Amino acid sequence: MAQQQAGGPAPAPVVEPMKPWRVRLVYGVVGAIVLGHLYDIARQQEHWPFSNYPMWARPANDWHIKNVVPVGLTVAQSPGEVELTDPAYLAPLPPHYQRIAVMRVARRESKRDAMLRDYLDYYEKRRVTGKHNGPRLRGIRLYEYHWDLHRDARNAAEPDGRTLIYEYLRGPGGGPASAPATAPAATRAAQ
Amino acid sequence: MSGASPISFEAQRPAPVGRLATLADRWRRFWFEPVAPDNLGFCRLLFYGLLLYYFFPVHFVGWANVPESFRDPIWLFERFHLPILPDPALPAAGAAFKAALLLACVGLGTRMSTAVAFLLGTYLIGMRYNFGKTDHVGAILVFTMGILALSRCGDAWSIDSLVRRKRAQKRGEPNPAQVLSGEYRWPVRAVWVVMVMVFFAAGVAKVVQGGAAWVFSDHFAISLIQRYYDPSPPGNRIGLFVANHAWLAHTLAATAVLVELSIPMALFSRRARLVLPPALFLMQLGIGIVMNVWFTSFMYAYLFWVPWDRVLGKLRRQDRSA
Repeated sequence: MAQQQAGGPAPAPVVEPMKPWRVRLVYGVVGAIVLGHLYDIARQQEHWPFSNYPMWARPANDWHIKNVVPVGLTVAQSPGEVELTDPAYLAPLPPHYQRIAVMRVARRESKRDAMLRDYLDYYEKRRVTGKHNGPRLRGIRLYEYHWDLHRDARNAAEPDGRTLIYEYLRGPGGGPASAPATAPAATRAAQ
Repeated sequence: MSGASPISFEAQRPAPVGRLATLADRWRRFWFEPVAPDNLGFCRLLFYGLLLYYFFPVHFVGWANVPESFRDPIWLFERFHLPILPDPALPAAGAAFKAALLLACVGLGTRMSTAVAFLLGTYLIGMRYNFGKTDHVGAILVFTMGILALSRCGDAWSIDSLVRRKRAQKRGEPNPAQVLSGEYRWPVRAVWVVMVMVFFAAGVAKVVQGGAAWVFSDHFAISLIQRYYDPSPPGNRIGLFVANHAWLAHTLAATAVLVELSIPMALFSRRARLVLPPALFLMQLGIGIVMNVWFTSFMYAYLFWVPWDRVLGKLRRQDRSA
């Protein structure tokens, strides 16, 4: 596909001047890109596709981690609880998106029930249409998993402890049957 | 390419008078010094080829079925009232995007294919960010596709340019002259500017939000260790090794901030260009290896820093002399 592939001797190159409107267009486009980013840098905000790129910018000085994890409650007594980690359960939403979404509403009573009800409905809809092999669920529990960070990460596989922060059970009419909540504690989103 | 005239770039501009005029001239040269189309054309071929390789296995399907309560619209979608397309429109858009990437890669109907790739790519890449998580990989692809869509990147290394030459041959016309133009210079420089803004922003965010603690506290070590508690932990213990050697963690943290804040120098200094973009490339590669956080598609933008015309010229000369 190279220019040089065609036959015949290559004539001497000629210089083609930029048209003034094209120069203005270039300055306009580059100016918009730069100003958009500068605005987000100054405000420390994000307006995708512009951003201040705050990855790992907030200093972490806590040697503890807390994560909110949704756990399914099966209709059958055994196994009782199942981890909702299979990507097929809520596809195309990846599991880490699910965790972030749940973390976002875990302490917000106004949105929490609606999301957990939607979670169960969507899960069940996909289950009955054969899009995953998960068990039938009657509810979701939100646990806060917590770890003390160790320099050799020896306890990474299992949390040091977990606290039930909310339980959503589907009632006969589809609404919540019970919703015990414990005292809220601060959570931190994984970066 | 019609309208080409054998006049020099300098002849279009008044002679520089004084330091300001020299600066203005350097500015114009930075953006619009006439160059051959080969470098830009080869960048286009590689960039869209890599994007196609990356997005080909991605299925754009079923996002409209995800419950409303999981949505957290990003600014672009909210501002312009962009909906999440239902099936089968979404998979069709995905297929059209991949077809546009292929055509843009080989340079067939380049103007149209790059424009379609930009519009559909912006939508499809941005769409998944409406569900609570925005990563920092997709934006540079959108800006780069936008720049290429406005450029004449199909004038070399493309089927379009081959067809133009064949037509000229058929008509018995002489081989079209190699055209040098600022049109082939500014898109590459504009991608540089995008990347500079990205890393400069990241550097400023660390200084503003973290301050000195970002470098001199346990922050860097904690960030590395935290990754081992993630559901997708690193497959090696390099991060733990770094975290357990405070001097190493502080040095790497300081280097990261310094390189990110220095990256604007790469726009103006050839020497800085030889050091800073490769350093950032290695930094991102290191983050992938040590933290299992990969910036794969973002890293395609680095290819615009490579002077492919010179690299290919050198390879050709070596080939001839062998």
